[in-house]
Formats: sequence, structure tokens, C-alpha cells
Amino acid sequence: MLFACLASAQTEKITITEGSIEPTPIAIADFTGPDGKPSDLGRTIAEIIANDLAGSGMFRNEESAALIPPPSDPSIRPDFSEWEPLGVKALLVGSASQNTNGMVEVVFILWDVVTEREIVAGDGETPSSGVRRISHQIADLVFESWTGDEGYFDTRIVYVEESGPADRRIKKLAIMDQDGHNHTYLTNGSSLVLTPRFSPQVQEIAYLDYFNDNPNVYLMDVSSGKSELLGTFPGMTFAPRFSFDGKKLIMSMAKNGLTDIFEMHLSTQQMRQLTKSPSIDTSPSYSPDGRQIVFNSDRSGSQQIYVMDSNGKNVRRISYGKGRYATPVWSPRGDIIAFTKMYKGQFYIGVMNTDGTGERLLAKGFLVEAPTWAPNGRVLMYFKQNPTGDDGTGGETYLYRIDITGFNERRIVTPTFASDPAWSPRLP
Amino acid sequence: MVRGSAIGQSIAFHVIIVAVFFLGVPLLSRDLAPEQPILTVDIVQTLDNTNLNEGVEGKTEPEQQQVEDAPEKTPPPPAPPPAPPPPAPTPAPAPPEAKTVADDAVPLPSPKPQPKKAPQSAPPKPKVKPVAVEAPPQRPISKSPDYKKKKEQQLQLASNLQNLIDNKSQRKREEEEKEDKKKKTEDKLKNILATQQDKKKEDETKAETKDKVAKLVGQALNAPKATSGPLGMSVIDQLRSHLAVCWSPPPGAAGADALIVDIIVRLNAKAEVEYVGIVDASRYKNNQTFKAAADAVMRAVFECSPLPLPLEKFETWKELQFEFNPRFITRN
Repeated sequence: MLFACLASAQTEKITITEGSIEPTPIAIADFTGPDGKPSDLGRTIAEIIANDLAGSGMFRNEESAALIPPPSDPSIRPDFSEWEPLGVKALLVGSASQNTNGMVEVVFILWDVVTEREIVAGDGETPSSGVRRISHQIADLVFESWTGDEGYFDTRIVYVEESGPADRRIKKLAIMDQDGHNHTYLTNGSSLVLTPRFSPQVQEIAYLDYFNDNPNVYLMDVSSGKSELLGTFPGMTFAPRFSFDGKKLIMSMAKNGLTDIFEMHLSTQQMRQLTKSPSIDTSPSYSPDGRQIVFNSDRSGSQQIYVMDSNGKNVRRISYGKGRYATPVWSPRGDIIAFTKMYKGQFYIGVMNTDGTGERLLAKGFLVEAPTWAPNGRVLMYFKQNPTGDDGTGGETYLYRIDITGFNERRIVTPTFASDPAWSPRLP
Repeated sequence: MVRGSAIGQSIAFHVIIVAVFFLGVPLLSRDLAPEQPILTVDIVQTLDNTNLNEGVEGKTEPEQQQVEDAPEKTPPPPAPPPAPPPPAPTPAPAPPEAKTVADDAVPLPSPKPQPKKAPQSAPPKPKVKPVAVEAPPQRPISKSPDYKKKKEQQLQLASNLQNLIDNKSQRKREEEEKEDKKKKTEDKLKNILATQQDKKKEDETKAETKDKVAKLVGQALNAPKATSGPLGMSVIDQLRSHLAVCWSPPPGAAGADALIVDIIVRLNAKAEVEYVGIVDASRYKNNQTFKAAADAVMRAVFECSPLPLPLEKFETWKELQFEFNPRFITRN
């Protein structure tokens, strides 16, 4: 047994292993204009940032802090004794003004109120059309420097908008900022569109379009809106997804009564069959390193989740809970897999480790389906459908998002009904 | 008859006893349990004067150096933290200064300008103004017969001197430029070396932690509540529950083991926190996730200041080491 009489016997190490997880109380001061007072532009910017941060579940806006006038310029050190009694731990101060070129100049600084230190600061310039984007970028920097995690606020969501009567639904592809703003349509509803998926690398979307009643996989360039036909596949094709390097698409195809998983190289449009089984293999999703694929198969007799190597070998089942599993999606972080689960008439969105352990259910509903990951792997978006009544009413679908801790479920406001969301990577 | 049976009984009993000895005793003995390290268990009393010492290493020189070797100073900090005041009553420094984290251990982040549409400049730094130099006083002009000559000689001397000075300063400038270039390449090399060294240090600390874990596993299996040194169990328990209220770590990007933060805390005689140093300074500089976790630990310690410590025993706790381990996060 060691009896070390240390010269520095006074320094002994005390371990602290208990604490609490709480959203950080933050004060986001309205950004000031050239006169040192909050401006309308500054209020807009502060509001965008506040919504982003609060929506992540990691921050809580401290309302009472709005009563304290911010420093008239970000270069002025705040009087922390004013903010601290409110329990505020983080303080964001900024300024925004239009310069002579008509561009908006923005400066910001994030303070740690408790230790009275600067955490991050920066500035930028944008035409007024880009004010929302620069606010999201500031929110990303605040998020990253405070939590150590990557931000996801400068991203977009593509989804399928549904309108019209239940028996003659019109489906259009739509795109919007992750906070619901800047909403536009990508298709006009003349044909049936399904399962849009964002490329993880470039602003491209792969989707299914039933043009002339044939299922076709299209690739759309978001900025130009132009679509390119990747292939018309005999039989049914489902749910194309990109690999994380953006070079391949993986999908399932039904051929001669068999549904298997196929991979296509986008540059050559060459197809490769990865599973060959009499069961229905569908909903494939790559791991971020491209070495594995998770998918859905009923080869055990019920729908379950399987993982295989990217060459189709070494297939192993990972879901063993009660119920049926579907739509598995690998997190961009590589550490967990999101899925839909059906049990006793209820639908759930859940996550599990990549070996199937640690299953946690996050959300439930009459019908919840098709989770999609935010690029930082901490937030999921999915859609929920209300039950349809016998009289044909009901059946509304809306987009929802939730933290992987299971907290902070929020509905995304869309012009009308929405389903099949896909989250973009961070904008370049 | 009685005698015979008595002898018989006696013999029988003797035989039984012998049999028990020969048969029973071997049954009673068992194989020795496999060698176990000898554990001395001290009964800890909740008195302040315990001497229990598990041999948990205090932080010694190398890691202290890591703390002090911390990186460059950045834009002028608000006020340099005062030296810890002596226990004798002195006017206490104003709270904001007491809370300032010493710059030498915790690098202030240099402004990171990043919104991508931007020319990227930091918030304005105060510029150093050149100090005006006073001209030397003029000597009064004396009226002497050689005055003009002398004056011309003086002027000539002056201009010669001026030329020499100019040449010298030009040469100096050229040399300085050369030096600058040299320095730049040297700095580049230093940076490369430094990052390599940092990587080495990181690897070394990783190896060290592995060793430490192995040691701890081999030692007595005490829960983390066990104490060492002169502080005493009850004080440490109090510190733990006190700090648990203030500590809110980030929920965790990577696995929880990535977020263990070791710090050194220095206190004044009122048990107020004056200084918090992150032991792994290079990791703080290079790893965003670790920095976020370390910042949360610093906030916890400052927010919980003053710490619940017996004031009369200042010498025993004026410098403390903590390890914040967020394993409670993954426990659910």
C-alpha cells in the first residue's frame, strides 16, 4: 500500500461527479445601430438568434434581461454586475448598421458572465437579403463555442407539401430555412413527388417523381431548380439516399416480386445489387464513413433493422425490441441510428446505438415517420399524421423536430400539410 | 465389567478423536484463496484531522509547468488579477477583479471572426501611440570672432553625423528585415514543432491516464468519496455537494470520457476563488469540445465561490485540485 508523503500534500485531488444538465440561461441583447441604441434591424437579428438557440434545447432566453440596456457598442465591456443577478450565464452583444455600399455590417461578441471573459467575437458583412443567414451563422458560432458541438442553424429543409382533397392529393417539393422562413416551391405539383433527400455535400436533392406513372429518380440542383433524370427503373423504386461523400445513391428496388437494395454511382449511373434475398429489403442508409449500411428487412418474419458492410456482406440484425422497425437512418456523427417503430397501434421515433443497444423512444403519435438528421446529429425532424376519420376528415400531416435527449419537441410551421422532410447540410 | 466397558469406551473415544483429527481436520482446511493484494482499510472518522493517505498523486512539477507554459496573451485583458492578498486584513479587491481568471493559465480566446461573407477583423484593439521626443535645449549663441567658422564647422560636423546616422539606420533597417524574415521562418518551424509537441503531450497524457487507471484499479476499491490528505471526509463531501449545484456540463458531443476536466483552484483566506487553472492547457487551446467542458467547470467554480471550507485551516486548502467527471450524464 502506498503511503506517499508528498511534498505538496496540501494539493489533493477531489473528484466531482455530480452536476445537472440544464439549458444555459442566455441574454441576447438587441443589436445596436450607429447611434448606440437597439435598432429594428438589430431586434430582428437578435430574435432570429434567440429562436435558433432556444430551439436547440441547449439555451434558454432570459426574458428579464431585456430590461437592461445593452452596451452601445460591442467593443464596450458590459457591466456584468447588472446581468449576473438575473442568473444569466451568457451574454451576446452586437451591432448592425448599413454602410455606404448598402451592405449590412454586423459585429458581435459573446461574453461568459460568470467568469467575465470573452468567449467568441466576430464580424461580417452581407447584403440585406442575407441578414437572416448571417444571423444563423452567428447563432452557429455562439452554439459551437459555448457547447463545443457543431451548430446547424444555417441549414434548410426540403419536404413534400400536400394539399387538395384526400383522394386527389397534390404533392409539391418545397424548401425553407430550418426555422421555417424563406419558403419556396421546387416543383409545381403536376406529378407525384416523394422522398426528397439532400446531398450531404452539395445543394442537390434526389427525389422520386411519378411522371407518367413511372417511378423515376431525379437529381435537382437547388439553386437553378433544374432536374436531371437519373434513371427510370422498372418496377418500384423507393427512398434513394446519398452516401456521405455525395457520390453514390442507395435505394431499394422491387423487381419480379423481390425488393432488394441497390447502389448507384452518380457519375457513371452504374447500378450494383447489394442484397439478394427473398425478403423485402428496403430503406437503406449509409454510415458516415461509408463502410456500413443500415436497412430494414423482414427476413426474420417481421420488419427489423439490419446492418451490413457496404459490399453487402456480414448482414446482422440489430433490433430486438417488441414491435416492428422501419426507416433506419444513420446519424451524421456515426454514433446512433434513428428509426420508426410500430408497436400496439402506436408509432414511435427512436434512436439506438449502432449495435442495437440503448434503444430510446423520443416521440410518439398515431403515425410518426421518416426521421431525418440535422447535420450535427443532435436534432431529428419527422412528420406526424393525425388519424383519418371515416368521413374522410383528418389525416393532416405536419413536420416536427425533437432533440435526441427527447426534449423540446416542436412543430415546424408550414403553409399547409407537410411530410417527408430532409435536412440539408450547412450552407456553403 | 464396568471397568472393561470403561476402557472400551475410552478407547472408542480416543479412536474417534484420533479419527476426527486425521479425517476431519484435512476437511476443515481449504485451499488458500488466491493471492490478493493486502488491503488496509482505515476507518475514517469524520474529524478534520485525518491522516488517511491513499497515495493519490498530487499534481507535481510537470503538470504545474503545463499550466504555466500557457499560450500567448491576447487583446488586453480587463485588469490583471491581483496577487492573492495575505491573510492579514487588507482591503479586499473589488469583486470583478477577484473573479478574473488568470491569463497565464487560461488563454483568452482571440476574437474569431467568422461569418463567411466577411472581411474578417477583430474588435478594435487599442493602438500604441508613439511618444513625442523633446528636442534638446539650444545653447545660447555666443558672439566670438571665430563664430562663423565655428558655426560652419559645427554644421559640417552635424551633417556628417547625420549621414552616418542615416547610413546606420538604413543598414539597421536592412538587417532588421533580414531578421524578420528569419524570425518568420523560425516561428513557422516553432509552430510546427509546437503542434507536434502538443500532440506528443496529448499522447503522453493519454498514456498517463491509462497508467493511472491501471494503478487505481489495483489499489483499494474505494468509491470516489474516499478522501486523502488533511482536508477530511466531511469537508470534501460538502465541497462535492456544493459544487454539484453550480456545475452544468455540456450534454456531450463525444463520449463522456472526453469531457473529464482537471483544474487547480487557488483561494484567498475567505475561501473565495481567485484563480482557476486548466491543467491540460494545450487541449483547451486545440479542442473545442474540451474547451466548452472546461469553461463550464470554470463557471461552476466561480459561481460557487466562496467554497465551504474551514477558514481557520487556510493552509490546508489554499490550493485545491479538482477533477470534474461528467459520467452522471450517461448514467440514464
